[in-house]
Amino acid sequence: MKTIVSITKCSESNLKKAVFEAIDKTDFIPQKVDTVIIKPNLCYYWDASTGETTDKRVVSAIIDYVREFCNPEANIRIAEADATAMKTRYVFKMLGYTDLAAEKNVELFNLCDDDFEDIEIETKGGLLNIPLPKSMLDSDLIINVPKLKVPRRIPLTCAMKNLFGCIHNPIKARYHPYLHEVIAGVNSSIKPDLTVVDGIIALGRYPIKLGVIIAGTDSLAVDFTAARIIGYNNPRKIKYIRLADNLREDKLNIETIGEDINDLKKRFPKVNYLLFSLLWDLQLKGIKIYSKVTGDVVPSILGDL
Amino acid sequence: MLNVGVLGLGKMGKLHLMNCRFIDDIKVTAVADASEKNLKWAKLRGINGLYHDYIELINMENIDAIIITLPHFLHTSSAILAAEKGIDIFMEKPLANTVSEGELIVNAVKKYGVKFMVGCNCRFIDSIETLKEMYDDGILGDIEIATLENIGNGPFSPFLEPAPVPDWYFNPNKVGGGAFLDLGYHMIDLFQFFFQDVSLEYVQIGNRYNLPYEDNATAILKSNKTLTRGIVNIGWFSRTIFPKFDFRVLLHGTAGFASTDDFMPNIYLNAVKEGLRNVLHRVTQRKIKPLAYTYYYSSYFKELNHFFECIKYDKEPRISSNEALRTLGVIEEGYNISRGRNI
Repeated sequence: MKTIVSITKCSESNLKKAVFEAIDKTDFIPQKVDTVIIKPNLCYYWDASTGETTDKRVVSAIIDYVREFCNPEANIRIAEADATAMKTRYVFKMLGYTDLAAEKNVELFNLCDDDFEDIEIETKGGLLNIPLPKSMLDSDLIINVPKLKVPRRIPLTCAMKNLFGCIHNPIKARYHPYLHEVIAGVNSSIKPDLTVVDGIIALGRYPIKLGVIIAGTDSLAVDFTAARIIGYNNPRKIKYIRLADNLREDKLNIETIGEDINDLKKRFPKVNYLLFSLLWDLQLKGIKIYSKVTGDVVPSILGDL
Repeated sequence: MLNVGVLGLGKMGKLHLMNCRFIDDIKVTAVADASEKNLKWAKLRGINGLYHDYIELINMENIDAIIITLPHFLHTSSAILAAEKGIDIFMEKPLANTVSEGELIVNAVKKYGVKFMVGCNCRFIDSIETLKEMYDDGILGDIEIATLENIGNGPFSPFLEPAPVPDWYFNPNKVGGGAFLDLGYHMIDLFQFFFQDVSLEYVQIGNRYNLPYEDNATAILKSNKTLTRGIVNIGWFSRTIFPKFDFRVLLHGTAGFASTDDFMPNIYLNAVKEGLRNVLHRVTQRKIKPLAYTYYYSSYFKELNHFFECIKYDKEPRISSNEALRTLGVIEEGYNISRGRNI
C-alpha cells in the first residue's frame, strides 16, 4: 500500500498553517481520541535555532491541530525521556516547553517516570532488553516530532532515531554500541500514528534554514525521504533503515508530495559521515594513545578522565 | 613535600587533581566528594584519604594545602574552615556567591596568614600573556578601549562522553548567578589584570533560555587608574564546541591594536606539535608540558603550578584576594543594577 510523505514549505509567518497543510496532505485521518502523546526531540539544552532540538512552535501547532480535528478535550502530553546528559525537568523549562504547556493546558511528561515494558532486541552482542514506556505503546494517538539532522554517531537523526530517545533508561549511551539494531527494534514496537518533522532549521555540517515541515504516517517512509534530502540516493545504505525495512511485512511504497527533494538536497549542508566518523575516531584514539604514552592529562571535555 | 587535599571531584576537581601529578614536591593525599563513584575514581589513582564530607577531610587529614572545587555555595564555609586550620587555599572561581561571603573568606585568609588564590585561568592563557607583555611594553600605546568576549555554553558543554549537568547548577541559591558570575568573573578579572582599579559603568543582562538566572550579559567597565573602558560580552547561549573557542581580548590603543586572536595557533597543528614534543620529552625522560596539546587547558596547569610555587617560595599569588573581592563586587553591582536597585 502506498504511503504519503508531504514536504511543505513554511516561514515564520505561516508556521501553523504549514503544519496543518503538511498533516492534511498525508494519509492521516483525524479521529476522536482521548489520550495523545507528542514526542519532540529535546536531546540536550540547545536552542531550536541550532538545529538540534524541536521548535516549540511546531509542537504548539500540532496541539492546535489535535484540539481542532481530533478532540478539543483530549488529554495531551508532551513527552521526552531523561538522557545520559539531559534531564527533562530542566530542558522543558529552558527550551520554553513549560510556558507552552501552561499556555495550551497540556502536560509535560518525563517518559522515565512512566511504567515500562521490556522488548527483546537481537544484537551482535546477544539479546538486549530494552525498556519502553507504556504511554508510547498504548496512547490513543502518538505523534512523533523529530528534527532533521546529522549528528555524530549516526548518518541520520529523524523520525526513527527520535524514538530511540523514548527508551525508559536514562543511560542511553549503553545502547550506542548497537545503535542501529536498537533503533530498528524500538521502531518495530512503537508505531506513531503521525510524524511531523521540524525541518525549519536542519542540521548538517552546519545549521541551515531549510524551511520545511515533513509529515507522514509511516516512520520508515519519513526517514527514507529525510535520507534522500540529506544526500542518500539509496537510503537503505543507512543500516537502521535497512534493518527496519527488512523487518517490514509489506513493501515500502512512498509517494512524496510537495517541495522538490532535489532542491532541498542541494541546499542541505552535506556531511561526509564516513570521513567525519573516521576523523573523529582517529582523534579520540590519538588522544588515548598519546595520554598513555606521555601520561598527560585528558580534560573531561575530551573524554573521561 | 606538600600534602594536598581536593574538595569536590567534578570536572574541575578531577582536572586539578590530575594536573597536581606534574607539579614538583606536592602530593594529593586526600579527596572529598559526595559521590561514591568519584571517590572510587580517586582511589584508582592511588589516593587513600577518601571522604564524603569535606569538613571531615579538613579536620582529619594532615594537609598543607587544599584545592576547593566544591559547588559555589560551599566556598565560604570550606575556605574559612581551612584558613582556621592554617591550610593554604586554591579556590576555583568565583570567590563566593556574594560580596559579604567573599569578605568573610578574605578576612579569614588574612587573619590566619594562609596563601590564597582564586583560579582565574584566563590570566595564564598563552595569548593573554603575550598581549599583556605587549601592553606592558607600551607597544600599543595607551589603551582607550578594550573588548573582552567569552561566549560559550557554560555548564551546558557537551562532553565527548555524555555527562549530566550537576543539579546545583540549576538552583540559583546554590550557584549564585549565571553567565555574568561564571564567565563575567573571568573577563572582569582580566580587565583588572591589564588595567587595575576596575569599576562598573553599565550592565545589561539577558535570559534567552528561561533559566532562573542570566545566560548572557554585556557590561562596560572602567579602570580608574588608566581610564580605559572595557566592553565585556559574555554568554552561555552558544553551541560552540571545543576546540572552537569564542574568546578574545582586543586592545585598542593610541599606537596600535592587537587581539588574542592574533596569537592563537591552529588548534590541530598545535596539538600535533605539542603532542610530539611531549612524546619526545617522555622518551628522553624530561618533563612534559601538561595539556599543551589542548592550548586552552594548559592554562589550568599553569595557574595551579604558579600557586604552589607561591607557597614553596613564599611569593604573593598573581591574583590577590583583594582583586578577587573587587571582581565579585563588580558582579554584585551589576546584579543590583539589573534588578533596578541603586548601588
